[in-house]
Amino acid sequence: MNNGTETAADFAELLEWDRRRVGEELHDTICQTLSGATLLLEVISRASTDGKPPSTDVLARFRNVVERATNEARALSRRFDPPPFNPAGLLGALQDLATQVPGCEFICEKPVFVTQPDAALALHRIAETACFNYGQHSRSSTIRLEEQTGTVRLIIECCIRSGAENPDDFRLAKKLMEIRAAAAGGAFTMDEGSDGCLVFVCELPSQN
Amino acid sequence: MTTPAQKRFKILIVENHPDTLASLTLYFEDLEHEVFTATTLEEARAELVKTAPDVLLCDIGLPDGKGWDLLSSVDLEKPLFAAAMSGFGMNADNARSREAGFRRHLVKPFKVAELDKLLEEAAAELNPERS
Repeated sequence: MNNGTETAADFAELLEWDRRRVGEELHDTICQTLSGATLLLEVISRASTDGKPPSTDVLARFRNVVERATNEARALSRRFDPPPFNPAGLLGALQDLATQVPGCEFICEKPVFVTQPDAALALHRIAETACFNYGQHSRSSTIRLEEQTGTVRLIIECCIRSGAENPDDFRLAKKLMEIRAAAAGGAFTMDEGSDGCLVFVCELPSQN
Repeated sequence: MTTPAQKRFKILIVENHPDTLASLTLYFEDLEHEVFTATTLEEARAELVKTAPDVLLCDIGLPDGKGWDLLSSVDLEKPLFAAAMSGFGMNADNARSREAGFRRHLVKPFKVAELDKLLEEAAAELNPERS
C-alpha cells in the first residue's frame, strides 16, 4: 500500500465495503426472518378472515419467528458494538462468534486472558471479519486462541466451499484484518494450508 | 379456504431461509397444493427433474449460487410457471429474472394477495380452458 491519495482511496474503499457488509448482514438475517414473520402473519390473518381461527401450532410458530428476529437483532448489535472486554471476555466472545457460523468450532486448550481491552477488541474484530467473509463460505472452520512465550496468537482456519469464493470480499477482508493487526501492534499473515484451507494468524504481544 | 385458482398444483419452493420456507409451505399446503422444497441450487435442480412441478417459486440468493441460473441448467419436460423472489426489486433484478425465464419477480416481504395472483396467472397459463 502506498502513501498519500492511494492510501486514502484504500481506506475509503474499505469503509464503503464494511458499510455494505453491514447492510448485507441485516438483509440476510433479520430482514429475511421478518419477511417470514410477515408472511406467516398474513396467512394467520387470511385464515381468521375466512372464519378459521389460527391453530395454536401456527401461533406458536409465529411467536418463535418473532423471537428469532429479536435474537438476531441482539446478536448483530453485540457483534457490531460489543461490550468492553474484561480479561476473560475474549474467550466468551470468540465462543459466541463460533456458534454464529455454521460448521465453526472454537478451540482454546488453555485459558488466555487478554488484559488490554483494545487488544481483545482487535482480535475479536479480526476473528469476526474472517468468520463472516470466509467462514460463512466454508464447509468447516476453526477459531483457535493460544498464548505462548509472550505472544497471544489467534489462528483461524477456513476451508472454503468450492465455487463460494468472492475475490473482492476476500481481498478487502484480508486488508481489513491486516490493518487491525497493525493498529494493535501485531502481525497478520494469511497462508494456504496443505488441504487447500486458508489459515489466518494474528499475533499480538501478550500484555500479561 | 378456496381461491380462484382451483387447480391443485405441484409447487416447488426453493428457499434457504427456514422461516420464509416454512411460511410459504404452510400457505400453499393450506390451499391443498402439493409442496416440494429445496434449499440449494443443487437440490432444486434434482427436485425439478424428479417432481416435474407445475409452479416454481425460487429465491435468488441461494447458498450455492443464484436462482437465476436454475432454469437454464435443467431440461424441463413440461410447462412450468416460474416466479423469482428476493429482497431486492430494482429494475435490473426484474429484468434479469425475466431473462432467466421467470414470469414474475416477487420482492420480499410480499403479501399473500401477490401469491394468490401468482396462482391465478399460473392457472390461466397452464390450464387455459379452466381459467
